[in-house]
Amino acid sequence: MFTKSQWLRLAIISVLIMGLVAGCTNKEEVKTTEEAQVEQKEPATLNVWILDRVGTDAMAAVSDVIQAWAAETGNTVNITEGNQFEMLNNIPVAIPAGEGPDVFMTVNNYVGGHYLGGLIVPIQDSFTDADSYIPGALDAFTVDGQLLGVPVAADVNALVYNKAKVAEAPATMQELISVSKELTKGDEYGLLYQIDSFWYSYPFFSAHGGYIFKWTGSGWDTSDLGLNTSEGIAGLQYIRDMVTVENLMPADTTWEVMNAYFTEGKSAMIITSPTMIPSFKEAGIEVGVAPIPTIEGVGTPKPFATYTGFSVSAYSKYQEEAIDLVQYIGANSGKPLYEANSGNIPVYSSVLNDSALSSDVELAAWMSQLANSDPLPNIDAMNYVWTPVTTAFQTVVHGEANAATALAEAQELILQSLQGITQ
Amino acid sequence: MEMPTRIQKPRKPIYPYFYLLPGLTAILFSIIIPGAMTIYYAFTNYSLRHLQDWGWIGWENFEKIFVGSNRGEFLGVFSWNMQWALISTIGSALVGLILAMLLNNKRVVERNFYRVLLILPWALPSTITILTWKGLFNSSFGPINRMLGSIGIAAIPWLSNSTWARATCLLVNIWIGYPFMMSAFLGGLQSIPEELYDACQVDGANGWQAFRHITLPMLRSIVLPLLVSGFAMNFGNFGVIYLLTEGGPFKSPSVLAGATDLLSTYMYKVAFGATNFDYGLASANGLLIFLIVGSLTLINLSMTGAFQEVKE
Repeated sequence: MFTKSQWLRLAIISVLIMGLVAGCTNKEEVKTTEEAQVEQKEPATLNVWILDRVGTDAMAAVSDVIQAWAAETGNTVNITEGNQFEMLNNIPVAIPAGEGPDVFMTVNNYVGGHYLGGLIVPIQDSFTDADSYIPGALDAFTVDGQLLGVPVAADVNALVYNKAKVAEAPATMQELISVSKELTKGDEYGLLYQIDSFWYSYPFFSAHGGYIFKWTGSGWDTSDLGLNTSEGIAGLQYIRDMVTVENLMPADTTWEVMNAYFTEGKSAMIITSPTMIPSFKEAGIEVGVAPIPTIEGVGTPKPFATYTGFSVSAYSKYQEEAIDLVQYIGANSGKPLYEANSGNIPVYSSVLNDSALSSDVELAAWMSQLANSDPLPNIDAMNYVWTPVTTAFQTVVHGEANAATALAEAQELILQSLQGITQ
Repeated sequence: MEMPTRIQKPRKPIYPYFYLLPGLTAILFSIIIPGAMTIYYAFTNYSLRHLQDWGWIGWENFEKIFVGSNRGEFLGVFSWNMQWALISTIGSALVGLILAMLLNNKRVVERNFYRVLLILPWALPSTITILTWKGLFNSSFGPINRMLGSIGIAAIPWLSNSTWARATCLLVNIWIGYPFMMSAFLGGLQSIPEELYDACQVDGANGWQAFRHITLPMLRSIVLPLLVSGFAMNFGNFGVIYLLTEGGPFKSPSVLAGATDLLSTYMYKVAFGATNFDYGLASANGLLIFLIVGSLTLINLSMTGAFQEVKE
């Protein structure tokens, strides 16, 4: 089959390959002994991942805070910046492989899954700063009574209005609706937002007492759903009536339309998050921000809030330093993050006492909306909520189904799916 | 005189393999190992819930897809996916062929200008054009319905009614897909010798006969491979649906899939939707798509003989 020289070649190649394989394993052995030595030395080296979620300038701002901690404590920190989705997709693979960060920026709706997967550690035992955070911010990072991260910034929807068209924000929803009706004519609108979206319309749903999962004080009860309840049904009917009875806006208003119309001055009020404000101001709109007004005789609308924060890897060899670092970031990055990008609403309460920020009326409005908000559930059961609930909201607002039937179907589907995954 | 030696069977030398080694290594690491791992993961419960203790669970992922907690949504998505791939492929080929024949007509003086215009959908980044279409098709604010409204046609629910939304998605996909087909056909048309048409005219054939007996047979070898690969590509399309409708509009009862969800966008929701990372289930879905596309392509190839070598 083979000639002598061919056998020789084959032998050489296989020796080379074996050498390569052996080389790899040797290297790893060397690495682990090196790591063992490092462990005995005092100063730690931490790898930190931060996400573009907060904005490019804000990534630099939070890096400065992290490096300040390193300088104070004598530890070394290696910072990696990256795209939010790429980085968070890598976490479940990278951390168990030993290539992940010790500390990473995260979003509160990921911590439930990360905790289930054993990727992050509870930090409440060495967390001393709990009273300094605004209410709800730490709940957003709590699963089964375990604190799984430190919040640094929040994102929430509130009422954003054009001061040239509405001098003062309406005090009640009743007032808002009547003002809005007066302003709605032709191609101009009073209130305009993505009304068939569960995310944007949730505040009116929650004002009536609707919810997704019941918050027990230390976690979410996935067997207690608040969709198919008389409160939930009343909430969805209220949202539908804004389209069908009050004729405030078309049912298929999209996010893009909302932004375009507000930028062109063709809508007076929208419901949105702080991220878009700078571009409205650039377009010359006189922007005002206010909490979504209460529905008199019903309740106060509570939009969803999501929180950006930092979690500690369960695989980190420097748990103590890592937890110290996340506390430090929590206490020190609120103001720089907000100043670098006004989309990052501070959650550390003393930030508002800062003289530079105490006169910031917009910030005060965002923070008062944040005080009236529901944290987006941080458990992976949410994956089975989005489609059924979106279906219910879309079909009802578009007039294709009635609220009671749609919500009953949605609740039934969610409970069925959840039975399927918790076995 | 020497005995004529028996003709020796040519030896298979080993050194070609040595030259191929870099390529083979690349294939091993980029195709064979990931492929094998996908097949393996499809039978495990590797997911965020089981990062450390994951293991073999047999056919459970496939059960979940066909009967389990996702309640047979797969079949509905699959049947729409078939329609999508068929109509998209045939539609863009037809549009491409008609336009190519018009452009190939020498009596159209300004055809180079048209060619540039018609190739634009291919040249523009599709992410941007798809989002533009999304804005154009909005039923209350989009320019298309406003234009129709000004001539008295009632608003069409382009993206908010499930049947219309499917048609709209197909329209956009055909718009994106036809320039490629058109250029391929144009090349094919230009390679057909003029003499054939001259001879055919002499024989007294009409335009349709010329098309049927000269153009079509001559284009066959170009078209068939394109149709087969176009079908496979459309079958696995992700971007058009993800950007245009995000799978919506949604109709009850749907757990994850909307009216326009294709297998690829559906699989994405199953595996990575919200913060759920179910690698096992995603691999099972991926394996299914691979088997479906693979077997359909094989059937297509054997039926059409598209890639058969031309026999002397």
